[in-house]
Amino acid sequence: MLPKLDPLLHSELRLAVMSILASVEQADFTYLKDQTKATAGNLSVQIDKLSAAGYIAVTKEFKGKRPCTTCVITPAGVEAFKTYVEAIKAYLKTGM
Amino acid sequence: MDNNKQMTAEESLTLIAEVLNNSRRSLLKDSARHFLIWGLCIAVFSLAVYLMWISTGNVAWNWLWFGITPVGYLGVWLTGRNKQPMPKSEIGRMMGMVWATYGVFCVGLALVSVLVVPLPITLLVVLLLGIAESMSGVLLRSWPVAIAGFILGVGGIAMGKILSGESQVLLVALGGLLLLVTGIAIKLQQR
Repeated sequence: MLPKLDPLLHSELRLAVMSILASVEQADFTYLKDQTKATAGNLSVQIDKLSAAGYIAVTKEFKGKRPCTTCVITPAGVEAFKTYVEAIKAYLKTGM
Repeated sequence: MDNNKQMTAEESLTLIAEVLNNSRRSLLKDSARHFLIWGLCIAVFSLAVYLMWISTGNVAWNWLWFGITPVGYLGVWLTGRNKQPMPKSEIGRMMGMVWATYGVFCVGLALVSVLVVPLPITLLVVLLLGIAESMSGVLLRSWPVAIAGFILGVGGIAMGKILSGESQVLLVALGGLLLLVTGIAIKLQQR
Protein backbone atom coordinates (compact mmCIF):
# COMPACT_ATOMS: atom_id res chain seq x y z
CA MET A 1 0.00 0.00 0.00
CA LEU A 2 1.32 3.44 -0.93
CA PRO A 3 2.01 5.90 1.91
CA LYS A 4 -0.33 8.89 2.24
CA LEU A 5 1.17 12.19 1.12
CA ASP A 6 1.27 14.88 3.81
CA PRO A 7 -1.40 17.36 2.59
CA LEU A 8 0.45 20.23 4.24
CA LEU A 9 3.53 19.60 2.13
CA HIS A 10 1.67 18.58 -1.02
CA SER A 11 1.21 22.20 -2.06
CA GLU A 12 3.54 23.94 -4.49
CA LEU A 13 4.41 26.97 -2.36
CA ARG A 14 4.66 25.21 1.01
CA LEU A 15 6.81 22.47 -0.52
CA ALA A 16 9.10 25.11 -2.07
CA VAL A 17 9.46 26.88 1.30
CA MET A 18 10.26 23.58 3.05
CA SER A 19 12.78 22.63 0.33
CA ILE A 20 14.62 25.94 0.75
CA LEU A 21 14.63 25.68 4.54
CA ALA A 22 15.86 22.09 4.34
CA SER A 23 18.93 23.31 2.44
CA VAL A 24 19.89 26.28 4.66
CA GLU A 25 20.19 26.85 8.40
CA GLN A 26 17.75 29.77 8.31
CA ALA A 27 16.30 32.13 5.75
CA ASP A 28 14.53 35.44 6.01
CA PHE A 29 11.15 36.29 4.53
CA THR A 30 12.56 38.40 1.66
CA TYR A 31 14.84 35.58 0.53
CA LEU A 32 11.95 33.09 0.59
CA LYS A 33 9.78 35.56 -1.35
CA ASP A 34 12.49 36.05 -4.00
CA GLN A 35 13.20 32.35 -4.37
CA THR A 36 9.55 31.27 -4.58
CA LYS A 37 8.35 34.35 -6.51
CA ALA A 38 5.22 34.30 -4.34
CA THR A 39 3.32 37.37 -3.19
CA ALA A 40 4.07 38.57 0.35
CA GLY A 41 0.49 37.92 1.50
CA ASN A 42 0.31 34.39 0.13
CA LEU A 43 3.76 33.49 1.45
CA SER A 44 2.88 34.87 4.86
CA VAL A 45 -0.26 32.70 5.05
CA GLN A 46 1.65 29.55 4.03
CA ILE A 47 4.44 30.27 6.52
CA ASP A 48 1.84 30.60 9.27
CA LYS A 49 0.36 27.20 8.29
CA LEU A 50 3.79 25.51 8.38
CA SER A 51 4.56 27.20 11.67
CA ALA A 52 1.23 26.13 13.20
CA ALA A 53 2.00 22.53 12.22
CA GLY A 54 5.37 22.79 13.98
CA TYR A 55 7.33 22.24 10.75
CA ILE A 56 9.10 25.59 10.92
CA ALA A 57 9.94 28.09 13.65
CA VAL A 58 9.40 31.77 12.89
CA THR A 59 11.23 34.60 14.63
CA LYS A 60 10.14 38.20 14.18
CA GLU A 61 12.56 40.93 15.15
CA PHE A 62 13.76 44.35 14.08
CA LYS A 63 17.05 45.01 12.32
CA GLY A 64 17.45 48.72 12.84
CA LYS A 65 14.05 50.08 11.92
CA ARG A 66 13.20 47.25 9.52
CA PRO A 67 11.12 44.26 10.60
CA CYS A 68 12.81 40.95 9.85
CA THR A 69 11.07 37.57 9.81
CA THR A 70 13.39 34.59 9.97
CA CYS A 71 12.32 30.99 9.35
CA VAL A 72 14.06 27.81 10.49
CA ILE A 73 13.02 24.23 9.78
CA THR A 74 12.34 22.27 12.98
CA PRO A 75 13.32 18.61 13.63
CA ALA A 76 9.63 17.72 13.13
CA GLY A 77 9.75 19.58 9.80
CA VAL A 78 12.87 17.72 8.70
CA GLU A 79 11.22 14.41 9.56
CA ALA A 80 8.01 15.36 7.70
CA PHE A 81 10.01 16.49 4.67
CA LYS A 82 12.00 13.23 4.61
CA THR A 83 8.82 11.17 4.92
CA TYR A 84 7.22 13.19 2.11
CA VAL A 85 10.22 12.66 -0.21
CA GLU A 86 10.21 8.92 0.56
CA ALA A 87 6.48 8.82 -0.16
CA ILE A 88 6.77 10.50 -3.56
CA LYS A 89 9.67 8.20 -4.43
CA ALA A 90 7.38 5.26 -3.65
CA TYR A 91 4.70 6.77 -5.91
CA LEU A 92 7.21 7.21 -8.71
CA LYS A 93 8.39 3.59 -8.38
CA THR A 94 4.86 2.34 -8.92
CA GLY A 95 4.45 4.75 -11.84
CA MET A 96 1.56 6.70 -10.30
CA MET B 1 3.60 29.79 -7.14
CA ASP B 2 0.16 28.39 -6.54
CA ASN B 3 -0.52 26.84 -3.15
CA ASN B 4 -3.72 25.11 -4.27
CA LYS B 5 -2.25 23.35 -7.28
CA GLN B 6 -2.48 19.56 -7.07
CA MET B 7 0.92 18.19 -8.05
CA THR B 8 1.84 14.77 -9.31
CA ALA B 9 4.68 12.91 -7.55
CA GLU B 10 6.95 13.72 -10.48
CA GLU B 11 6.12 17.44 -10.31
CA SER B 12 6.81 17.43 -6.56
CA LEU B 13 10.22 15.86 -6.99
CA THR B 14 11.06 18.23 -9.87
CA LEU B 15 10.02 21.22 -7.73
CA ILE B 16 12.21 20.10 -4.82
CA ALA B 17 15.20 19.56 -7.13
CA GLU B 18 14.63 22.94 -8.82
CA VAL B 19 14.33 24.84 -5.54
CA LEU B 20 17.43 23.18 -4.06
CA ASN B 21 19.35 23.97 -7.24
CA ASN B 22 18.25 27.62 -7.27
CA SER B 23 19.16 27.98 -3.60
CA ARG B 24 22.65 26.56 -4.25
CA ARG B 25 23.07 28.90 -7.24
CA SER B 26 22.20 31.92 -5.07
CA LEU B 27 24.85 30.93 -2.51
CA LEU B 28 27.39 30.38 -5.29
CA LYS B 29 26.54 33.78 -6.82
CA ASP B 30 27.07 35.51 -3.48
CA SER B 31 30.44 33.77 -3.05
CA ALA B 32 31.56 35.48 -6.31
CA ARG B 33 31.56 38.85 -4.52
CA HIS B 34 33.96 37.49 -1.89
CA PHE B 35 36.28 36.00 -4.53
CA LEU B 36 36.31 39.34 -6.42
CA ILE B 37 37.07 41.49 -3.38
CA TRP B 38 39.70 39.24 -1.79
CA GLY B 39 41.26 38.50 -5.20
CA LEU B 40 41.52 42.21 -5.99
CA CYS B 41 42.93 42.98 -2.54
CA ILE B 42 45.57 40.23 -2.71
CA ALA B 43 46.57 41.18 -6.27
CA VAL B 44 46.84 44.93 -5.54
CA PHE B 45 48.70 44.51 -2.24
CA SER B 46 51.16 41.94 -3.57
CA LEU B 47 51.88 44.05 -6.67
CA ALA B 48 52.41 47.05 -4.37
CA VAL B 49 54.83 45.04 -2.19
CA TYR B 50 56.67 43.77 -5.26
CA LEU B 51 57.00 47.19 -6.92
CA MET B 52 58.04 49.00 -3.73
CA TRP B 53 60.47 46.22 -2.76
CA ILE B 54 62.30 46.14 -6.11
CA SER B 55 62.31 49.91 -6.52
CA THR B 56 63.60 50.75 -3.01
CA GLY B 57 65.31 47.48 -2.03
CA ASN B 58 63.74 47.86 1.41
CA VAL B 59 62.21 44.63 2.81
CA ALA B 60 60.13 46.67 5.27
CA TRP B 61 57.55 47.05 2.49
CA ASN B 62 56.54 43.47 3.34
CA TRP B 63 54.60 44.91 6.29
CA LEU B 64 52.05 45.97 3.69
CA TRP B 65 50.81 42.35 3.65
CA PHE B 66 49.10 42.98 6.98
CA GLY B 67 46.86 45.53 5.24
CA ILE B 68 45.09 42.86 3.17
CA THR B 69 42.84 41.62 5.99
CA PRO B 70 41.38 44.97 7.18
CA VAL B 71 40.97 46.30 3.63
CA GLY B 72 39.39 43.01 2.47
CA TYR B 73 36.89 42.94 5.33
CA LEU B 74 36.08 46.61 4.73
CA GLY B 75 35.44 45.84 1.04
CA VAL B 76 33.17 42.90 1.90
CA TRP B 77 31.24 45.08 4.37
CA LEU B 78 30.91 48.04 1.96
CA THR B 79 29.71 45.91 -0.97
CA GLY B 80 27.33 43.84 1.15
CA ARG B 81 25.68 46.53 3.22
CA ASN B 82 22.87 47.33 0.76
CA LYS B 83 22.45 43.76 -0.39
CA GLN B 84 19.66 41.46 0.65
CA PRO B 85 21.09 39.22 3.40
CA MET B 86 21.80 35.68 2.27
CA PRO B 87 20.41 32.80 4.29
CA LYS B 88 22.73 31.16 6.77
CA SER B 89 23.84 27.84 5.40
CA GLU B 90 26.20 25.08 6.41
CA ILE B 91 28.19 25.64 3.19
CA GLY B 92 28.50 29.38 3.82
CA ARG B 93 29.67 28.74 7.38
CA MET B 94 32.24 26.18 6.26
CA MET B 95 33.50 28.57 3.56
CA GLY B 96 33.91 31.24 6.19
CA MET B 97 35.84 28.82 8.41
CA VAL B 98 38.13 27.76 5.54
CA TRP B 99 39.09 31.36 4.73
CA ALA B 100 39.38 32.38 8.37
CA THR B 101 41.72 29.42 8.93
CA TYR B 102 43.71 30.51 5.89
CA GLY B 103 44.03 34.02 7.32
CA VAL B 104 45.09 32.75 10.76
CA PHE B 105 47.73 30.46 9.24
CA CYS B 106 49.11 33.25 7.03
CA VAL B 107 49.38 35.73 9.90
CA GLY B 108 50.83 33.00 12.18
CA LEU B 109 53.44 31.95 9.63
CA ALA B 110 54.33 35.59 8.92
CA LEU B 111 54.86 36.29 12.63
CA VAL B 112 56.96 33.11 13.08
CA SER B 113 59.01 34.06 10.03
CA VAL B 114 59.63 37.60 11.31
CA LEU B 115 60.08 36.83 15.01
CA VAL B 116 61.36 33.24 15.33
CA VAL B 117 62.84 31.56 12.27
CA PRO B 118 62.87 32.67 8.61
CA LEU B 119 60.44 30.65 6.47
CA PRO B 120 59.76 30.57 2.71
CA ILE B 121 56.67 32.59 3.61
CA THR B 122 55.62 33.60 0.09
CA LEU B 123 55.51 30.02 -1.14
CA LEU B 124 53.66 28.88 1.97
CA VAL B 125 51.08 31.65 1.48
CA VAL B 126 50.61 30.60 -2.16
CA LEU B 127 50.22 26.94 -1.16
CA LEU B 128 47.67 27.83 1.54
CA LEU B 129 45.84 30.11 -0.92
CA GLY B 130 45.59 27.22 -3.38
CA ILE B 131 44.35 24.81 -0.69
CA ALA B 132 41.72 27.31 0.55
CA GLU B 133 40.50 27.96 -3.00
CA SER B 134 40.34 24.23 -3.79
CA MET B 135 38.38 23.55 -0.61
CA SER B 136 35.97 26.37 -1.52
CA GLY B 137 35.52 24.80 -4.95
CA VAL B 138 34.77 21.40 -3.41
CA LEU B 139 32.27 22.94 -0.96
CA LEU B 140 30.56 24.88 -3.75
CA ARG B 141 30.71 21.82 -6.01
CA SER B 142 32.45 23.99 -8.61
CA TRP B 143 35.21 22.00 -10.29
CA PRO B 144 36.81 24.99 -12.12
CA VAL B 145 37.37 26.67 -8.71
CA ALA B 146 38.78 23.45 -7.18
CA ILE B 147 41.12 22.86 -10.14
CA ALA B 148 42.26 26.52 -10.22
CA GLY B 149 43.20 26.21 -6.53
CA PHE B 150 45.15 23.01 -7.16
CA ILE B 151 47.05 24.61 -10.06
CA LEU B 152 47.81 27.67 -7.94
CA GLY B 153 49.01 25.69 -4.89
CA VAL B 154 51.02 22.97 -6.58
CA GLY B 155 52.11 25.10 -9.57
CA GLY B 156 53.06 27.95 -7.23
CA ILE B 157 55.41 25.73 -5.22
CA ALA B 158 56.97 24.39 -8.44
CA MET B 159 57.38 27.93 -9.85
CA GLY B 160 58.94 28.99 -6.55
CA LYS B 161 61.90 26.75 -7.29
CA ILE B 162 62.51 28.76 -10.48
CA LEU B 163 61.73 32.24 -9.13
CA SER B 164 63.54 33.66 -6.16
CA GLY B 165 63.20 36.45 -3.59
CA GLU B 166 61.09 39.39 -4.66
CA SER B 167 59.85 37.64 -7.81
CA GLN B 168 58.06 35.05 -5.68
CA VAL B 169 55.71 37.85 -4.57
CA LEU B 170 54.38 37.83 -8.13
CA LEU B 171 53.06 34.32 -7.45
CA VAL B 172 50.81 35.75 -4.72
CA ALA B 173 49.66 38.43 -7.18
CA LEU B 174 48.91 35.62 -9.65
CA GLY B 175 46.95 33.87 -6.91
CA GLY B 176 44.94 37.06 -6.33
CA LEU B 177 44.25 37.35 -10.06
CA LEU B 178 43.14 33.72 -10.11
CA LEU B 179 40.65 34.45 -7.31
CA LEU B 180 39.47 37.47 -9.30
CA VAL B 181 38.98 35.36 -12.44
CA THR B 182 37.17 32.72 -10.34
CA GLY B 183 34.78 35.41 -9.09
CA ILE B 184 34.14 36.68 -12.64
CA ALA B 185 33.64 33.10 -13.89
CA ILE B 186 31.08 32.36 -11.15
CA LYS B 187 29.23 35.62 -11.94
CA LEU B 188 29.10 34.80 -15.67
CA GLN B 189 28.08 31.20 -14.99
CA GLN B 190 25.21 32.27 -12.72
CA ARG B 191 23.77 34.92 -15.07
